[in-house]
Amino acid sequence: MTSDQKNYTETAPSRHMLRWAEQFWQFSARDDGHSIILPDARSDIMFRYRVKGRKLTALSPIFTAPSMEPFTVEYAKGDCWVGARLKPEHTASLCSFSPTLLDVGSMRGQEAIPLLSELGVEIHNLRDQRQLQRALQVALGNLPAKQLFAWLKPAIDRFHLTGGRAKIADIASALNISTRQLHRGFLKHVGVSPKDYCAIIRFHRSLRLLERSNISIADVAFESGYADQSHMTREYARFGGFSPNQIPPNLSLPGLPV
Amino acid sequence: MKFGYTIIYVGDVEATVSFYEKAFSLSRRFVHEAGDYAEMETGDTALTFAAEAAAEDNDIAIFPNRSRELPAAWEICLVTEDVEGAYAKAVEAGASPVVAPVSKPWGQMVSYVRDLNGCLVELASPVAK
Repeated sequence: MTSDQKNYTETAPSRHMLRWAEQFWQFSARDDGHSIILPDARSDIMFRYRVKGRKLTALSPIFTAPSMEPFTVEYAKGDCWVGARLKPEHTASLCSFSPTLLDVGSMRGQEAIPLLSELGVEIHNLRDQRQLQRALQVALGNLPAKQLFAWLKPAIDRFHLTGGRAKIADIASALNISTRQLHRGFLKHVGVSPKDYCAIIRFHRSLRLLERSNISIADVAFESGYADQSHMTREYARFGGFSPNQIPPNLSLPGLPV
Repeated sequence: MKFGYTIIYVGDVEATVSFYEKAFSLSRRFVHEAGDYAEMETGDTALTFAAEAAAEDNDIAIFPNRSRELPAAWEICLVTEDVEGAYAKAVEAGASPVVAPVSKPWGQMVSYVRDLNGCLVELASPVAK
């Protein structure tokens, strides 16, 4: 466990919040440093803030759309984040408020305040940390319920269960839809293609295997479904910016269901 | 090495246990209170069921057992003297018929069904030794 892993904690959402959120998470920087945020094909709603006495300072709302690239966050001691990771099928709900969010990847600070407002949260009302958690819940509760394809959640579950290794055509036919429908539905609601989604799952699973399974990198590559170790290395470069045998200590590893 | 036990990963552990009781006259040894694991009373070599989520917790990726799709390339075989009766009972309970009881050249009565999750279950008479 790295020191960063201790700074980062997750809280399971309540039953009510499970409709929208996969996890609530918090990060408090005990030292200056930086952390690599790995792409996870999910959107987040979060606040970045500092605390002075018991009051919030430097409060900034941040919305992030699914990314396929790693992102490095610089922080100073005392920087804090609290956030909600949305379930993958709800990216479209969030992006429906901000059509450009998916394109630009994120909205932060001033530009994010109107979006926050539309989700029922007035930033000037937020005074302490407890109110931030509550604000996330309010924002989530105000996300518009989109009509999801009946096959969408089963498809997502199946991608996770199969570790991103099942052929997309097989997933589609198991759900009695065409690959075209699967592709379009995913782009529309999840914001990434099924192929990219599988690649992200494979990446996270292989990271877990490297961390926990005590098998060699070559065996992890094989079990994860990479064509070979160089395929794995290329995907690690793409999604992490590092190689499998040089995994940085300061990764933010969300507890993804892989 | 000793053959320890079989675990079948299923969508609904309780439903699977109930099905195996009803269709194959097996009895449950226990069902874990969280509903994610159960053992049938099958002697030393247990037939057990685990929730699909348990596979993910164990870092294994699997193709799910689904009744409407092709089964995986393995079966469990339940041995009984009365294959015809067992087969009829299984189908009555909702097992999908695959091969009705047929007599094999080596003197064994053999039949195949698929369980509620689509797993292949052979119901066969003991092999004469």
